[in-house]
Amino acid sequence: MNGHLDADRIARCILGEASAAERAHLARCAACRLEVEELGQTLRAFRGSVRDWSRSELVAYESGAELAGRSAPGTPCCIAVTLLLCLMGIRISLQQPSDRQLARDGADPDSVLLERVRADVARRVPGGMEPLLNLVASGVSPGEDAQDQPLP
Amino acid sequence: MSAFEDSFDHTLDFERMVELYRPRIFRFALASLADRDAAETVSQDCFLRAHGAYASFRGDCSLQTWLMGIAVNLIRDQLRNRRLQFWNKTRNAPLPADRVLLNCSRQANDSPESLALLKQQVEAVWAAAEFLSARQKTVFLLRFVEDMDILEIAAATGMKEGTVKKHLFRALQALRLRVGPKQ
Repeated sequence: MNGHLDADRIARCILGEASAAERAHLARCAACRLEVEELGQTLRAFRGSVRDWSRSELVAYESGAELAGRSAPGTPCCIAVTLLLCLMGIRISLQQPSDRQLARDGADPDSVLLERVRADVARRVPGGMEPLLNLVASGVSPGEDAQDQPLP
Repeated sequence: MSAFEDSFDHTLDFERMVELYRPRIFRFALASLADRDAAETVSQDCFLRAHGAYASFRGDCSLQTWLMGIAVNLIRDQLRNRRLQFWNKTRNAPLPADRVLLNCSRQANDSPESLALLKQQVEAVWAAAEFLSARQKTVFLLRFVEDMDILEIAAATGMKEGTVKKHLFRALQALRLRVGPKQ
């Protein structure tokens, strides 16, 4: 064999599939031998690093899962209590203005409620669409109805 | 073949198999996907599928090869997942230095310079592996991380023996170009 081993032959040597001629060349060529040894050493170090990495990740994952498992029984209770508190807070905040208004006006609760229902019924569109309706209405001259406009 | 496989029969405790092979499946998935959560998902799915097919396992190949075959398919599915591909591209991939753990530094006899050089070489292997095709990377990891021989890799991947060799040669060539000789 003339010259040094090419990439294919080096790969064969690394994979342990070198022919007799390639093995003989390795035995007498220090440069090729060194290259095969160094590549082999690098691959072994790579394997070691992957194994260490995997071990540490697995430990981290399992310790994380264990921690999650420990906190799991309390978690639903915490969530339920938090939701309950949120709902109570929302209800209180919704009730407070009307109570204050009632106290200020000294009005009968039933009549206030009736007024509110009348106002809602009197709306032409749902409350959420009122800004849109106002926008459309602002583009129409007074006295004209937007629905009477001819289509383009 | 492990002692577990020597005594393999279908009445064996499935949990024992999981205990024995889970670290290997997880390791292969982690090296392939570089994502701990995805690797854990793959290893769980792998044993879920294995559990479903356990009764039909005929022992044509070793348990490790059989499980690796399932893992190879699951990892391929994960890699095909566009969402994962998107996140893989957009997120900061784990630095090679994170993967090059203390294995090198444990070799107390080596000088700091040679350890640094070795670490650099291992980083170069990681970098080269990122540029391999999915098949080349799979074959490369099965051979050089999982220590599987060519016949086992062929059985696990469903490739022909010659195809496995071809992928390995190409992977090694790419690696050799990137790693280069030590100075």
